[in-house]
Amino acid sequence: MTEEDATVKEPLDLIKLSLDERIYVKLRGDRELRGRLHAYDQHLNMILGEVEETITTIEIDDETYEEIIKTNKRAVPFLFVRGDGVILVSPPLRQ
Amino acid sequence: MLFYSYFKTLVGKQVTVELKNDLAITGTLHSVDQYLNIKLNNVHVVNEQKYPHMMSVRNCFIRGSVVRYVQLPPGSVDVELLHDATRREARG
Amino acid sequence: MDMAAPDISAESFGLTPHAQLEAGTPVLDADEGEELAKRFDYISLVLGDNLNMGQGSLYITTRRIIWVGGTEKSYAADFQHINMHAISTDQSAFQRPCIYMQMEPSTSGFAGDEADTDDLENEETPEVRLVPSDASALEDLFQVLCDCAALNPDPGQEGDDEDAEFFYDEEEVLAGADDGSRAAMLDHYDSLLQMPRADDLDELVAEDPERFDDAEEEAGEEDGHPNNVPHPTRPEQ
Repeated sequence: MTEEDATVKEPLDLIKLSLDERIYVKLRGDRELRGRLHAYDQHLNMILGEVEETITTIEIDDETYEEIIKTNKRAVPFLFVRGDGVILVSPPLRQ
Repeated sequence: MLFYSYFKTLVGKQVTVELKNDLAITGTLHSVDQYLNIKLNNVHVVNEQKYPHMMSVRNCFIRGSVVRYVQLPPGSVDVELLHDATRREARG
Repeated sequence: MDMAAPDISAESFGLTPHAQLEAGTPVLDADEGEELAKRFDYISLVLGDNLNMGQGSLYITTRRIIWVGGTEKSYAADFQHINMHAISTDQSAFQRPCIYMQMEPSTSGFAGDEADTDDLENEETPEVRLVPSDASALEDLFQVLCDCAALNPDPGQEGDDEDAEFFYDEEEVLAGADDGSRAAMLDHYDSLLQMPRADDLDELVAEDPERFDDAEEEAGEEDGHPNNVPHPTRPEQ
């Protein structure tokens, strides 16, 4: 990485440091993606590789009224993600 | 511009476009414009239970802004090229 | 004649009733540069699966589509509210070849209206069909719709906007993460930048009590005095 590339002046520069790294993306509609960042632009449109999508849904139990949290996961080899659904981008959280 | 240019390289290939209303449409990419509006040919719908009417449409125009994802054909993703293009665009 | 019922249903299908007409022809907004692209006659408008509004003329303009079925019967939809359109020839879905359209639900306002986006996902997508009496018109109809739709991108989604700025929307970010995960993410960015975190400070000072002693005096001269200002090394993770 050249010195120029490593300079952080604005938020998108942080994402530049994550190019070819695995990132975590939170989307509208309780969707999350984990995948390798291969491309992005200023709208936060992205191409991710080796993607795992997690969709979280909350259902209310008919009898107990307890919240039942369900997650659905699927794997996609390469995914273009439209930036207008993106809420947050970060390096993956340590568990 | 990066993604417009990239999608142009996928013309003629099969992609699956997932809309924000959960409709997933698989078809041959016919064309794309700078707003990432997408035209598909030879279309079929992946979740047919929710949208039975879409089962067999020939051509389809999708507004860029209603797209959530596009599943890309693995063989046509040159990651090195994408990295370079992204760095160039980020600098510009 | 009771017009109320069909109008209410038209709106729930993403259409606006009562286009402004003059001598049976829609009045276009010339001030905004609206022009007629093409008129197609003998087009039936069908809402949902089977609510047939009858036969009329379809005016496709540079801004919207306007269907006129009579002086008291007209409906319009801006291209910004037509999410997709397709040529459908599947007789099991609809008995005649037609243009099948999915509309933006009218209650949610414009596409991209943030407050409504999540609700919108659970909403039924309105479906509207344009059925020409002569199926050979379909290709042309489809193409004119494509050409005019492309003239109407959503506001704020310019394809290659030189002036596009990153903007912060704290509310949106807060909505996406609780405090704990926000803090964790910020920590990650900090570590990415190779900055010591607050809780690493004690450790650093313990290693070298004079580590930060000269920081204030030396401000602005970071490059000059390597002996007095040790470059902070990345803390062990």
